[in-house]
This record gives sequence, C-alpha cells and structure tokens, in this order.
Amino acid sequence: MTNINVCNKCDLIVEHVLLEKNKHAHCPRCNSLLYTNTLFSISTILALSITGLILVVIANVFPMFTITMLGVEEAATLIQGAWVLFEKKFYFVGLLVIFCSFVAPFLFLSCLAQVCILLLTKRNTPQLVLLLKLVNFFTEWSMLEVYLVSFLIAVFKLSDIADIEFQLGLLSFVSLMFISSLIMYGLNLELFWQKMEKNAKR
Amino acid sequence: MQNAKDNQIARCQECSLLISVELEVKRQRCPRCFTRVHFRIPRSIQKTWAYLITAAFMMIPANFLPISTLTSTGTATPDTIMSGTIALAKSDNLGIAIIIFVASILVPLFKIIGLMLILLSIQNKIFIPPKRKLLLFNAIHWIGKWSIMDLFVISIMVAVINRGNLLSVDPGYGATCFGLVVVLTILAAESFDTRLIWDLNHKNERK
Repeated sequence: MTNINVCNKCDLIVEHVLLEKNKHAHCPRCNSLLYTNTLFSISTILALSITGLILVVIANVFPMFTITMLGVEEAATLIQGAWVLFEKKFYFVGLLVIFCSFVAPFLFLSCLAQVCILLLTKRNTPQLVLLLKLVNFFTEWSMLEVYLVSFLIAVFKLSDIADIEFQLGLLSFVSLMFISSLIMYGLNLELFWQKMEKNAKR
Repeated sequence: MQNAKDNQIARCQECSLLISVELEVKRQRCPRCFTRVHFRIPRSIQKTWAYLITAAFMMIPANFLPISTLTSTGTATPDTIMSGTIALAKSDNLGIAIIIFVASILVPLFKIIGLMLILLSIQNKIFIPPKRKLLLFNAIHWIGKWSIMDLFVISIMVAVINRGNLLSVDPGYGATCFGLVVVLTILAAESFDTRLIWDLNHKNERK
C-alpha cells in the first residue's frame, strides 16, 4: 500500500504522488490537505522543543507583569491564576485553566523532545509508542495563543484601575507561543512513526 | 471515486497507518502502534449527540449563574457573562466587549447548533451539501479552543485583584458550568467522524 493514499477527512482512495519541496497535495473530493512536503526533520523538531522547554521554565519562574493597585505593587506569574482558583475551591475551572495553559504545552514539548532523542539515538523502548500517542493528544489541548489573547484582554481591563508593567515572563511566554506554533506547523508525526519502524527493523 | 472502507482499507486513528483489514479477524490491532483498528470512530454519531445535548443543557446555568463577583469597598456585584459584557460595553471598552461576547456566547452557540445541523443532515433529516458540511465542521473544530478565553481572563483577574473587601474578584459557579460547556463541545467535535459525511452520499450514489 505504498502507492495509494487515503484522505482522512472523506475516506477517498487517491494515488500517492511524490511531491516537490514545499508543495501540498489536496483531496480531489473534499479539498482537505492530504500530505505535504514542508517538513521539519527530527533534529529540527528536537532543537525547537528544547528551546521551548527552556522558555517554559523562564516563563514560569519570572513574573509576567507587575501590577500597582491601591498603592501596593505585586508580581503575577503564569500559574498563579490557576493556583488562586484552587485556593477558592474552584477545582474544575482551576484544573482546566492550568491544564490548557501550562500542563498540556509543557508535556507536549517534553514528550516530543524525548521521542526525538529516542529516535535519533535509535533506541526503540516500549514507551516510544505511548509518547507518540501523548504528543497527538496534547496538541489538541495546548491553548497558548488563546491564553495570550486572554492575557491582553485582562491587561486592558486592569489598566483602568491599576498600573501595569510587563516583565521578562511575558516575553518568554510570547516566544514560547511562537515556538510551539512553529512546531505544530512543521510537525509531521508520520515521519516519526516511519523512523520508529525503520529503527525496529535494524 | 472509491472509498477506502469498501476496499477493506482502514486508517489507524492514532498513527494514521493504512491497514488492510481481514474480515475474519475480529478486533484487529494496528501493527505499528497497537491501537484497535476501526473503519470509523465507533458509535460516533451517538457520542457526538450525547456530548452536544449535555453541552446545550449546561449552556443554561453557564449563562444565568454569575461567572464572577466583583467586591468593591464592601459591596459585591455578581456578573453573568451577558451582564459583564454589557458593563464592558458601557464603560467604553466596546472592542473587548465584542470579543468577549463572540468568544463566550456566539462561539459555543455556533458550535452546538452547527454540529447538530451536521448530525441531522447525516441522519437524513435535512439537506446540506457534503462540502459545506465539512467546511462547517472545520470551522467548528478550529474555533473550538477560543471559547475558553473568558475563563482565562477570569483566572488572571481573580489572581491579581485580591485586596479583600476593598477590591477583589471571585469566581462564580457559572464559570464551572461554562468550563463544562467548553470541554463538552471540544469532546463532541473530537468524537465526530467527518468520513460519515461521505458515507451517506456514497450510499445514495449506488442506489
């Protein structure tokens, strides 16, 4: 089944054609993207995900902004919002916020980095399949770009009653968002699965 | 135009490997990632309906219970999604009011009604052209995560505005219900199998 392909949106069988670099193949029936040749190699993905992991640390250690309200200055970090929700016993909302804004993007990057390292060092451990499935799952639930827009809205609302100064945490959060969007744009897990099969045969 | 299902070819849900399914083998697993192989997501339509109906019911408390409470010099004013938006619009933040209104009221409604229309049309109750159905689904899928925005805003406001009786923001139970709406609509979109749109069409063609 190497010379055929199947559209995963409408199940049409199509002929598999080799593409030139930066070309895309679309389904003739439903016009969905079938496959593309704009791919990042495994080592590029590894480099990007390690960069992302470093940015995750910086974004969480340093405050996003400092706020001066009623004469008191205070610093706010990324996970503080979810933490306060926990303290006020809103566990479900707190869990949802922390999962979508921190846990999912962080685990996405760390699973991806582990997968890349395992594949590049040609070690096929049983965890590899699980890790690849997790990468799939966490891409759905990582909502960094939504968080950034929400953050801007919150800052806009707050600017009426308080003075706000942006800090290093925000800069690294924005860079983290760009890095993770870049990874999601160039990530093709098929390449990873094929590499895994190839390693297993050796 | 040939469907893969009619040629006994299935695509693995997890690793998207193409697998030729042998009819006599029950419960076949993917040779690459060991996931169960199905032609379509099992019970996709029922699952999507279930999530959608629950989400539609949760929309009611999500919109009528207060989503946050602002305490300012001792007086507490609870805000629902709608009253919060109106307050924003009145205080010259029209742009933000529109963003919040679209993200937390229009988008969930659009997702629930849109998916219901797609399901009804698959069950032959109404007619929508297949390409338009897919377009609608793609829009729903893409816009899905943006409706969580209001919860993120509340979490930031709650964390930062915390001066006790002088000035503070507390979350309300509307936020929990709204969070459920967001999660349920995302799960509904996840459990829907777009290939069903063409299955129906295919059957009609052969008749």
